[in-house]
Amino acid sequence: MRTVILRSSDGADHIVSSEAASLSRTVQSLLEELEAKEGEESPLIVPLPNVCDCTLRKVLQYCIQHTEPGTNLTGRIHVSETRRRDLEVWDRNYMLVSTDELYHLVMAAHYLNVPGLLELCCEGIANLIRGKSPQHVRQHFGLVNNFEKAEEEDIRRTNLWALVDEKELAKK
Amino acid sequence: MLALRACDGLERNREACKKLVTEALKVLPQAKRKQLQRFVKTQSILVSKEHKRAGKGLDSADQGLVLADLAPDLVAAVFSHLGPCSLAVAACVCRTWRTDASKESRWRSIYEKAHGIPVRAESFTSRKHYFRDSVAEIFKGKGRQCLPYRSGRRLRDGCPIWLDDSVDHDSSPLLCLFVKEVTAYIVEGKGFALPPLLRGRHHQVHQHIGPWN
Repeated sequence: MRTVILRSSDGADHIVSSEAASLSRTVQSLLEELEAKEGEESPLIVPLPNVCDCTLRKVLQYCIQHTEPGTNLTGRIHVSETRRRDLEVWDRNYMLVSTDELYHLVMAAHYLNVPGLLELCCEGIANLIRGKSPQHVRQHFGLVNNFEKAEEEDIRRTNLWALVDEKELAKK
Repeated sequence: MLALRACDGLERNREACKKLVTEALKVLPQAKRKQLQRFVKTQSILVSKEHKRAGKGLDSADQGLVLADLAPDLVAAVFSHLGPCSLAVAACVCRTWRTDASKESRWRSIYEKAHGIPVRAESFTSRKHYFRDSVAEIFKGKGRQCLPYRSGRRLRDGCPIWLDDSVDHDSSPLLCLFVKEVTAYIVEGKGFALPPLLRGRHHQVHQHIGPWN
């Protein structure tokens, strides 16, 4: 199996198998280009200027875990049930990160185009929204309430069924 | 508040301020809370202005405001993971989110999941927001209790009563809708046990989540 060197924005090199690296479609297409240009034998170095070292390390953890034998790779149809469940548990533990890390991770996954990881991150972010009030979500995500007063009243009224009465909570 | 005034402006105290504010918000009565929020708002504006002048820009790490600038397609991807209650909340957050979270296609897929059948496109197109309204109709009066609002307070206090009713008929699609929202908290290990009602029903819960994943 070939190995690839991925170079992060701060210049740190990570050596991974080409199989793991190819989980990222961006890297995969870069690799193909490189191979065509440089020939089969030369070392493959892929610079990734948009990803910092610690995020890249985290992403690669995912890639390596998901390319181990028996994983759901394209072309391999038979995935054992236990393996799939193990991966699910692994994914869940993998997602135990701070909001900050999650943000960097989702940006990296977006840029590197790792579909599985992107999906996982989006679910992680969705879980952050779940069970919060609109005000809470704004605080957490750093969003500004840019509604006009009437507009906000309107949208609140439409979605009233999902909102807990703030006053009611304040009393408790 | 006094403590806040004392430490405001000082960069390294900002983290501490934030904690203080969140704690205070929980304790203070309504009027005081509003006052505090206003105060914090003006303060943070000042802070950010100072920062810009200094040419630094806001450091996202110590503000905790990190997810503000998600790309639109990422927001869309996130929303596709949301259940009905959270989606409705998301719609109330800001303009961009409202536009996305109010899309009929989103509500339509929730509606289809709730009823377990795909709907024919031509049957409901006459009314604007038909699907959102129908989902709302299902949830009216129940949504409020179903949300594990504010760090699971509702769940910790005991299982909402409505869940009792719907668990009786296991196949109820309504249950599926709620369970996803509720179990997210349980499964993600947010620090509390399975509510008594769902204890010993792990398997069932997972079955219910199945079609959602």
